Amino acid sequence: MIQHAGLAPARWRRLRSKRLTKVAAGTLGALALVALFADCIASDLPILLHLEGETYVLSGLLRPAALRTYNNQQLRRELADRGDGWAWMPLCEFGPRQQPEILEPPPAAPSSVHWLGTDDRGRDLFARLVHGTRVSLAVGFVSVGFYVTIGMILGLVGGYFGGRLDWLVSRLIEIGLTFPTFFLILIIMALLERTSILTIMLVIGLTRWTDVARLVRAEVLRLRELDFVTAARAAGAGPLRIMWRHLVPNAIGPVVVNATFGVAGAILVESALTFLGFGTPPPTASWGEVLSQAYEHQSHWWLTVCPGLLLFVTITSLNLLGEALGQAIDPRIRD
Amino acid sequence: MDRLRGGRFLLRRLLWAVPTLFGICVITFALIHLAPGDPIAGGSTGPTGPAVSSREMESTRRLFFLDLPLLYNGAPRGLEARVGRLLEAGRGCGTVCVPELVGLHDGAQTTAAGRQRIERALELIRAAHPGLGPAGVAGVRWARAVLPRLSRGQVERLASRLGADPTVERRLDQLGTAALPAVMDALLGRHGEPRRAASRVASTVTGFEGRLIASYGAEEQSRTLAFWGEWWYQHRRDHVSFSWWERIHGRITETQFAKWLGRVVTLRFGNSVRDGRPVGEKLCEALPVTLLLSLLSMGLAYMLAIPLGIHSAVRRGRPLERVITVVLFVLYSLPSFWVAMLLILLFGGVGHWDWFPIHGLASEGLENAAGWTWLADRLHHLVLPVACLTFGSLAVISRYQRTAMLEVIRQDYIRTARARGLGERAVIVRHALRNSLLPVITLMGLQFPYLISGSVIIERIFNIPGMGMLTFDAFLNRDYPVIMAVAVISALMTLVGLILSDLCYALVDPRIRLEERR
Repeated sequence: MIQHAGLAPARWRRLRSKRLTKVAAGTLGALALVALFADCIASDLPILLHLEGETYVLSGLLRPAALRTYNNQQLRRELADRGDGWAWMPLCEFGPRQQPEILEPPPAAPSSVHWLGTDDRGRDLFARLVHGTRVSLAVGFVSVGFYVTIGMILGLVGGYFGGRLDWLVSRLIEIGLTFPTFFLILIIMALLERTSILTIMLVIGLTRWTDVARLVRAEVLRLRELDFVTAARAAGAGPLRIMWRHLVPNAIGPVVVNATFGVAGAILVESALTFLGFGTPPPTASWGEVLSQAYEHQSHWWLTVCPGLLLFVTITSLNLLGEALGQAIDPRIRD
Repeated sequence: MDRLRGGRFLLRRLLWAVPTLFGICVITFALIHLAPGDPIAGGSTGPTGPAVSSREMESTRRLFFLDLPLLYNGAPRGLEARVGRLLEAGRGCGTVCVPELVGLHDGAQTTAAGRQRIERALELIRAAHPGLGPAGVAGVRWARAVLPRLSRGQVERLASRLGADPTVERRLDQLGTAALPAVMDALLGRHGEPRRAASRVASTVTGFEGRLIASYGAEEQSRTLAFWGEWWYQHRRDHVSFSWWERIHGRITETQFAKWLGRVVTLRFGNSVRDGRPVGEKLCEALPVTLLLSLLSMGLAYMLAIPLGIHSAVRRGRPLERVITVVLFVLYSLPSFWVAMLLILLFGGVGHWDWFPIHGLASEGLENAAGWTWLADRLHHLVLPVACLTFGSLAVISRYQRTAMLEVIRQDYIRTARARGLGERAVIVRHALRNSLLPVITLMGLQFPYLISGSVIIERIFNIPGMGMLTFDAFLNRDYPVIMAVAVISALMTLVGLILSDLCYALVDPRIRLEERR
């Protein structure tokens, strides 16, 4: 049995032992839950509603047509009038796109009604940030998954087969390194006629694979000379099998570390793009979009502070996790 | 001997850059083809009317040479193709067509088919001008008389007298577009009055307003010249019959890709759609600003990061080191554009403190002030943007430095040095420092793209007229010439950064040079 050096149990133990890492992982878990249950946390319709003998479950999500003209505030009044229905309200009773009755010219400062204030169209900031979490995390994880796949394949192919293929892969990597990625992404996004979250994921995925490819290639170059690969080859294993069963598990360590930092990078890129106006298209809620509003309304501090803080916390947690993973994999980094 | 080896390494590294450079060109070329999806598909549904959009389509078509094949042109066509098209369509064939036939005439008169085409053209002229009546016949007679006289050589002789003889202009005007090759040669190749005369002829003949006037300032003059240069680069083949040599290499050069490559190699990216100024000129204005920002912040980051990294490696575990590590980690995770906005919120006059200007690089009225006032004002404006650009790379570099130092300290030769009784200071400075600098130096080249990318957003926030701002404006206005120039230039600059860092690496570490030799 080959003991894989990739993510052996000893490393997991080392990883779990640090308190700060636990905090970071917990924060990320909480953010993931927020992203997953965004519709239960902040929505303009109740989670559960019993009205006129009919029960609606998450009707904003599952039956968007049924209660289109309603929102929480109206439903509350209605329920109070009738007295026969009931509702389970979400934590925050405003939807991310809902523009409630205007009390004062937006953006409104944080208050008991709007916990984090409103944006420049009177939409509740808390609701928008909660739903923005979904965009950020989705972009982060999907795009990184995408480019890790590309980078792994290229790195494996280049490193294992060597020769001309390796030359080609090295040149591709060099070209990829040469383009300032954020710039490239910006150019592509600006040139595309219509953008969506999916295009952002694709573009980030297609432009940032170089580091992974470089790491995997270097690792594979080292590993393929080792005895266990020769042994596997002698046992009659084909290149695909050697790569998948022997090289990938051993080379995955640095890739996981890189990917963790990469998620942070991708989230940052998404919000920066949206901040510049070339990312997530309106009216989708995203952190960068709120920050771009903050640029227009510089004296309204909550527009700057709240989304930025969230962004900072997310990125810090991811970086902490990446750091801890790196230490778990390469103990030399530790003191 | 050693120097020779170094030279060979440099040469080798530069040669390696060639395929990369080519790859960059291919990628930007592919990117540009993402761009004008609308002119081909015709799906542009902007608020601008159909007339405007069709004109825009035509100019985008010309800008990217979309009427040419992508990579291989089986039969490169010049003027003949255009005249042929006009004849076939049977329209637009007024007297304008006659001079165009002149170019054709040299060769065409000798063959039966060529004579036939000329006859046909004359028929069409008569058909296009029924009002001429018997004068139509006279027109044909005039054309018949004038054709043989106006060979290419004669047109060129005429154009060489531009500016000296006032009647020449009128005679060239009459020749119409047939005179363009000679006129453009004069316009782009000569100076003073002949150039101005040529610009007058070119304007009359093509219908574009581009007259050079003696009272023009340098900027206006260069803009007009740039317009004609670009126009000729795009339209030359409509007005010149290709020689046999041009027909041969035209198979490769008369293609979209070759034309694009030509733009990159000659750094002639055309003119900004927005204000008509040559892109090169705009780049030359913006690049120094961004370089100033980048180099300042990079220098600052290195100056702070290397001592910090060394300190936190050597004194690891002490309270101060822990504080530094935490602070650096936080800095590392802070999004720079958020920090920029927080700084504006705090110190930019939005809240309590109005300490630093947040707009541009110079105060109003102080753009051209002298000496210290100018410098102080500049620096005052630079504080916030440079701070925003610096802190991120500061964190990265010091972390690298720390890791490298930790690695070096564990080496045997450091133990040996200590065992020899050297003081701690001497060990660190003389033995450990040099080796620990290696990874940090390679990082320099890799930091460059980040700085350029970062400058887009920071320059936008602080309204600094650098590359970032230029790019942002270009994106907003869909200013394709600027976008493609910026893409190529930034990639080139990054490549140079990579090469430089490799060279530094080789300079510090002789093993690399030796390895290359093996």
